[in-house]
Amino acid sequence: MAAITILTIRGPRRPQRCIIRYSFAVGRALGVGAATPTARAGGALHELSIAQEIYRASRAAVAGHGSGRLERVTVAVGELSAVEPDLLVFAWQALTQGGPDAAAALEVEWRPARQFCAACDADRPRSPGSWLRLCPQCGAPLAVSGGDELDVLQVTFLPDEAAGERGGAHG
Amino acid sequence: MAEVVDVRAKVLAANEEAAARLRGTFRAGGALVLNLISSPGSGKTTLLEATVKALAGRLRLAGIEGDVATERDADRLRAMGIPAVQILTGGACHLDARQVRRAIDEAAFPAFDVLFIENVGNLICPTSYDLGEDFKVALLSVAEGDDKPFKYPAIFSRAAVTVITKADLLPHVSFDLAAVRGQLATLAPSGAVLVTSAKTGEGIGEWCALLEARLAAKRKAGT
Ligand SMILES: Nc1nc2c(ncn2[C@@H]2O[C@H](COP(=O)(O)OP(=O)(O)OP(=O)(O)O)[C@@H](O)[C@H]2O)c(=O)[nH]1
Ligand SMILES: [Mg+2]
Ligand SMILES: [Zn+2]
Repeated sequence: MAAITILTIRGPRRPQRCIIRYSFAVGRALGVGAATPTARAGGALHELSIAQEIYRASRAAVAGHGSGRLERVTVAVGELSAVEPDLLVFAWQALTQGGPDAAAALEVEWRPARQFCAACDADRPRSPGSWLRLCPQCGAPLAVSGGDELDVLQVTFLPDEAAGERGGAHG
Repeated sequence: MAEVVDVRAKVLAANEEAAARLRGTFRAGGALVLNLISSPGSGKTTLLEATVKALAGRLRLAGIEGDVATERDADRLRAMGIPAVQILTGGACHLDARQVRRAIDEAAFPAFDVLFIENVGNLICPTSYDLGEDFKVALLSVAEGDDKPFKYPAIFSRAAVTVITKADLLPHVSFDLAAVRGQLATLAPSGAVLVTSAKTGEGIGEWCALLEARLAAKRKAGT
C-alpha cells in the first residue's frame, strides 16, 4: 500500500514527520467532481480526471492536518506523462470553481525527459511532440530517463480557525 | 497563516494500488488478463467475438466491457456464450482499476483462463491507467490511416501487442502496412504486431496462439 509522506509542515506548528495514507474513500466522501464532464474534448476530459485525483490527494493531505481551504497545489508533470499542463490547469479551474477551493491555484512544474545517446556520448533532445527513441544523429537507441512524473508535490492551505485551536492533535 | 504540506505522492497512486491488488488476484487465479485499447470502432468487440469462436472449448474466457453508455458490447459477448460484465463510465474516457475491481466482485465470474478488458474507445486516456493487466493490446484498423502510431505514441509504445484489424479492407484504403510496421518497430521494439481480419479470419489463429503461449508462460512463471 502506497502512502503519502508528509515530510515537513511549516507554519504555526513545529516541523514534524508523519505518514498519512491516501484513501480513495476519502476523496469519494469529499464528493469531488462538482464539474461533471459533459461534451468536452477527449484530451481535456483526460486532464479533468487527473485534476480530480489531484484534488482528492490535496484534500486528503489537508484532512491529515486539520481543515481549511486550499491555497496552492504544486504538481510535477513529466514530458512523457500524456498530460498537457495548460489543459490540466483549465480542468482544475473547472473542477474547483464555485466550491470552497475556488481560489486555489494549481502550479505545474514541468519535468522534461532526459535522452542520452551512448554512441555520441551526448544528450539528444527530441523534436517537440516526437516520441522517437532513436538518436537523430546516429540512429542508435537513446537511454530515456525521467519525464514520466505525475506527482503531487506540495499543498498549501489556510487552516480554519477551529483547526488552529486543535493544533497538535495529529501526527 | 497558511500551512504548507509537502506531499510526495503519485497522482494516480490510488489507481496503482488497486491495480497491484488486481494483479495479485489474477496471478493467484492463474489467469491471463488483457487491456484492449483503440479508438472507437476499430473492431475490439468484433475481434473478441472471433476469438471466442476460435477458442471455443479450449480456453475459458470472460470479458469486461467499458463504455460511456449502453450494455451493447457485454450483450454481444454474452451472446457468444461467455460471461461478461459491462462497466458504464457515465462520461469518463477510460476505465480505472477501482471500477474493474468492483466489476469483478459483482460479476462473480466462474473460473477463467483469459480475461479481456475492453477499454472505452479512446487512444489517449486509457493509456495512463493500469488495470492490473498482463499487457496492453492496441488495435488499429486499416481504415484509420497509417500515421496513427506516431500520432498516438503513448499507447503504441506501451502496448506489448498491436493488432492491425480489418485487413480485408486493405484493397480499398490507402494504408501502408510497411510504414506502420516501421513506426511500431521504433516505438515498441520488442512488441508483437499481428495483422487480422475478423471477417475473413486472417490472423485470428496467430492471435489465439499468442494468447495460449502467453497464458502458458504466465502459468509456468507462477509455479
Ligand atoms: N470489414 C471489416 N469490418 C470489421 C472488422 N472488424 C470489425 N468490423 C466492423 O467495424 C465496426 C466496429 O466494430 P466493433 O467491434 O464494434 O468496434 P469496437 O472497437 O468494439 O467499438 P467501440 O466499442 O465502440 O469502441 C462494426 O461495424 C464491425 O462490423 C473486420 O475485420 N473487417
Ligand atoms: Mg466495442
Ligand atoms: Zn547518437
